[in-house]
Amino acid sequence: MKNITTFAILTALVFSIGASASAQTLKQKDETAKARYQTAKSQYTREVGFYKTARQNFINARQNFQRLKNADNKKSLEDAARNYLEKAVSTLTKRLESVKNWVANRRALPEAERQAIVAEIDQDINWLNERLTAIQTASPDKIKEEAKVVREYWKVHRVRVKRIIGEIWSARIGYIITKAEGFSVKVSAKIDELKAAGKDTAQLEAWLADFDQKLSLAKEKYESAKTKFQEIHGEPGSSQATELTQAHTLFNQGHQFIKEANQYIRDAHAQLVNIVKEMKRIVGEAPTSTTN
Amino acid sequence: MPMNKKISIGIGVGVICVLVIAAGAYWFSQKSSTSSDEAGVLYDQKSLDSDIADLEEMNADTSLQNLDGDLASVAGEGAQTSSTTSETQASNGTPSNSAQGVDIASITNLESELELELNSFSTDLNDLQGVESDPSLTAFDSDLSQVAQ
Repeated sequence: MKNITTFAILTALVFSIGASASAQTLKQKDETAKARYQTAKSQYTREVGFYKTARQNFINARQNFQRLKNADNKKSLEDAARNYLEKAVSTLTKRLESVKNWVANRRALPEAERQAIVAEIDQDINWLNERLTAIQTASPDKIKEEAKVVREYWKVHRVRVKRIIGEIWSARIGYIITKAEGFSVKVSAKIDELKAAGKDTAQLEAWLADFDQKLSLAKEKYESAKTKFQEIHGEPGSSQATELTQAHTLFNQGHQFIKEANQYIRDAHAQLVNIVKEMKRIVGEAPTSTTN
Repeated sequence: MPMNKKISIGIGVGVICVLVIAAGAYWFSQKSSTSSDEAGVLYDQKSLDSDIADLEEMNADTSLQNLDGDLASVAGEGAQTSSTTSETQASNGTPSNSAQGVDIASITNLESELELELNSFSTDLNDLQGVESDPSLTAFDSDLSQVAQ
């Protein structure tokens, strides 16, 4: 009997926790995600601080060695170079982790695209973690080689971050468009109900048509943006400077399409406001034809 | 010089000294008070700036923008109001308006939900643009090349 009571209490507790969690509003969910991202971002900022200190220590150690090339100064320089490289890799890792945190906690992203982006970021984080281990155990001569490897990665990293951010923007705006399309279906059904109730719905239908058209234009811009961001390869070829310049151009073009898509959805929203006001008026108005 | 005259001069000089010291003390206290007034004004100014920022934030707060729609949805108000009105009209002998039976509370929520999504998206655009154009690692490439040498 005691076991049954305990089980019942635990079940009730689990259900109540579940109910309170699901009762979170969209706004609260956004706030929680924002707070988590801020934490990850502050960890990255702190890592940048460590990186800058390590960089200064390395510069000082190099100057000391250039002034006096003895064994002590050489050892100090090797230690400073290793520490600097470690901090450089950790900083890049934290940067990617802050973006990953942003993606992982944001509700307003289609699940498939969220997983694809997280997997892409994880791939880079894993690679950086392997580099960190290699740097920690590398001989003084190997440190230079590791520095070259990390330098090559940095060139890739800059391009790849542009692509990832573009992918996130596309996924976010795509999510809103899909949601708004669902709204259109619901509004259309409601207009049908009003029409069936004998109401004049011509104005509502015109506004809904405009709402749909704005969404359609937003979708076109979204597709164009997506194409531009997909053209950013993130794997620089022989001419890395050209690759970076191209990535920058593609990113800016994609960003422009995203802003235009955003504007079309805002225009569509304005029509939705008109539709709601008109519906309220129709539902609230006194009967006219039947009062005579 | 008679003794009385000397005493008078001494007292006079003493009085002048006291007056000078008193004037000095008064001037110093006024100066301190002015400094503390300045500090007070500066503090008030900072406090005011902080309050303005807080109030602007409060003004821009959209936490409760969906409250009306959410409450209506929870309470099923749209439908209830409509049905209550219909019942009242029926009991008064007036004809009922069939359109009033149409619940538009869900549509009202859609509008505020889309607005919330758009506001959230604007924040996201800015957040991620900050990540992309992060200036923290501008010298990264040249610094790494120095280690590689």
